[in-house]
Amino acid sequence: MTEPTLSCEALTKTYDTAAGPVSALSNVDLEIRDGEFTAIVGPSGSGKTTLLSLLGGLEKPSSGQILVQGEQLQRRYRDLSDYRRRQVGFVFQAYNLVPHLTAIENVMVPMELAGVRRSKRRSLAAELLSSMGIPKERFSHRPLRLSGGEQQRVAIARALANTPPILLADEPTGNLDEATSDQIISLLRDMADLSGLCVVVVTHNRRIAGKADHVVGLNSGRVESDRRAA
Amino acid sequence: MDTVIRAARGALRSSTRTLIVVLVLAVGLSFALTSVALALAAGDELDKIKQTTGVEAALTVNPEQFQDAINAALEEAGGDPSKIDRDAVDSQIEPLTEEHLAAIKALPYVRNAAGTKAQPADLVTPGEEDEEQPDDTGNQVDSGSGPRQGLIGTPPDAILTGTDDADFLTDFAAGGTKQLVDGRLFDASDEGKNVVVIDQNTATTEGLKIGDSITLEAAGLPGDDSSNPRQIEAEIIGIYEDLETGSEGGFALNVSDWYTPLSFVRELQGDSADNSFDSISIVVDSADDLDRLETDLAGIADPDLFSLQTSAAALEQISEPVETMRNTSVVVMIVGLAVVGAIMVLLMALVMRGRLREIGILKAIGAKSRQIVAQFALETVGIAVVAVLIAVPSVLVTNMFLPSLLRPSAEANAQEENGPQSGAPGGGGFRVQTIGGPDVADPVRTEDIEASLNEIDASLGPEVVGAAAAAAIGLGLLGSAVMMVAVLRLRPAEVLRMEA
Repeated sequence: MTEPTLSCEALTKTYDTAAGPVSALSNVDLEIRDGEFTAIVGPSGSGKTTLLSLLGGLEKPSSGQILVQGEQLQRRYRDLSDYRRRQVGFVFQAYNLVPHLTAIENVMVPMELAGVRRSKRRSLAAELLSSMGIPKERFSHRPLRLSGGEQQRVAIARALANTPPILLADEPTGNLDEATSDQIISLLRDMADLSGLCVVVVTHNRRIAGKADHVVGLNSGRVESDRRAA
Repeated sequence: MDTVIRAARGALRSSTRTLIVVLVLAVGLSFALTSVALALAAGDELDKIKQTTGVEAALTVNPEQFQDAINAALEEAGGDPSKIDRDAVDSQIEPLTEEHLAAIKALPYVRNAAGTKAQPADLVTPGEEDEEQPDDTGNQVDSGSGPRQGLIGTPPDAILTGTDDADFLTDFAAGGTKQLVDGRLFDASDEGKNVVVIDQNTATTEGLKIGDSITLEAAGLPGDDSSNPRQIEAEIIGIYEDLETGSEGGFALNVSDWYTPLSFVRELQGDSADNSFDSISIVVDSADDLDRLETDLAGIADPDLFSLQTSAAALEQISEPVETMRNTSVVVMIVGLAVVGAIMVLLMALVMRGRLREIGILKAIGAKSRQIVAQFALETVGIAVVAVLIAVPSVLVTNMFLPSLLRPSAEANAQEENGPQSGAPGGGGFRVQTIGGPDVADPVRTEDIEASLNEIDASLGPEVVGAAAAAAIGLGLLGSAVMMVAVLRLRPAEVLRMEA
């Protein structure tokens, strides 16, 4: 059996606050496989976003470990920014595009950070934006001139800029209407199906969870359920 | 290159805000740079002053020697001044000699030294001469009682100062109190010749001009009953205007200063073989050498018999306001830079608050902290460089008013140093005539202090441009430091969770 793309063992995260330590995650075990569309669901404060942040290397666990293709994350990547640049693409509820850069420039930034040649960057970014359904004339628009759906598509294009094997999305449809949400979810689903991308989505949306291959339910920082579609 | 472009885009993201930041920095920097330029100029002026002021000294016969000799002779004469043996008095006084002069000239830091000798003299007009006959040198000698001998209460017409180096007549130097209006000063080629430089007042009153010959008679000191004063004819080679005449007001002795080669004074005193001086004028390389000079002179000339006057006080008087201006400029510069630095830090902190999300995004998509810091550092340095580029030519504007605000009052300084009256034009001061020595102890004039202060100007030299570059780098680093702290402390997961 092949190693899962991403897994975690006894993952625990405790935040130190003024009121004392707060446990956000406790002993979470999880396996995410290649080409799998995973939905992490649960009520607010259940630790969904914390789990995503840990899986994406945005934060370090208090204990336990994350394994990337069977290898311990922090042993493989001493600098987690390398992991975030090469292995992971992030999509956020609030899109988080750089406001003073145009749509295409936003997509080009990760490539620039990865050292892709300037001449190649623009064409790759244009290709990605087109594949996300962004009309060419919108490439030079700044985020504020794009609709919510368009901004999220640009954000997905940016997340895919360096062709990472893992895409992590935190409530990607939280700010979108139902129709646009469906389009975005279809897009993510297609990526998992067609590109073999490992997609992990944190969501409240039951309809998204319904389309997932793998659904992990969290409650109070613990895994309450972990089921895969037959 | 991409980082540079991204930094430029970041800076231009809010062009109005950036413009305000740049202008505020430019104004602050302009003040700071003007102060830097002024401090540098004041430093240069101080160096210049040390090369030209405070380098003069004069070694003179201690007046106590005269007093002791006269007292002794008076006692010998049974208290009757008319019976004082003048030769006995002279023999009691240890003079300065050519040997002293040679030893002083041999000191390594002595730039130049020259002996001077003074003699009160009267101008003998043709009608006043009587029974003149040539002496063995061919000069006319008065054989009878002089027509205008110095009597008690009758001052001589002039004090004749003889020196073997006219360069020591510092009053004639540029900016001095005397200015040649006709003819020339004597030089080495005039040694042994009977030539004289007289004042314009006498020339006008007596109808004298260059090339005229006048007869000078050695005037006795008050109380001196010498009945056979010498008279020597001399050619007028120079006429000078006393620039201070008429400005002194109040009471002043009507005694002119005339100048001749040293040999002429000795001739008039009737002893051409004499090798003594009343004083030795000395110029050292730097004002810093005066202490050494004082120590070395103690081994050359007995300090009990000879006294040394230096121009150290003049140096202090003229350099103090310049130093004050330099120090004030440095304070303004430090305050200016501190204010600009504080503005920079505050502005960067404000910018930070508005751009936390951007930093978080960049971190989340894999930017290394140093890449983010580099972007913001370039942005900050860019703003600082533009501010400096505006501030450097702005120095020309701030230079129009800042130096006058920082410049201390020359008159106030002169009054503080010299007292409320002396030295200032129209002050009514009574300037004591120094016989034979340089005016090393004269008070510094307000105009001299003013001239030094006016020399200090904030010019756009390479030092200012260097200071500007340093300021730009410093401010950039300061701004970057704020960014660096923020970047290192920022947890992207928290920032990105916030609503846009």
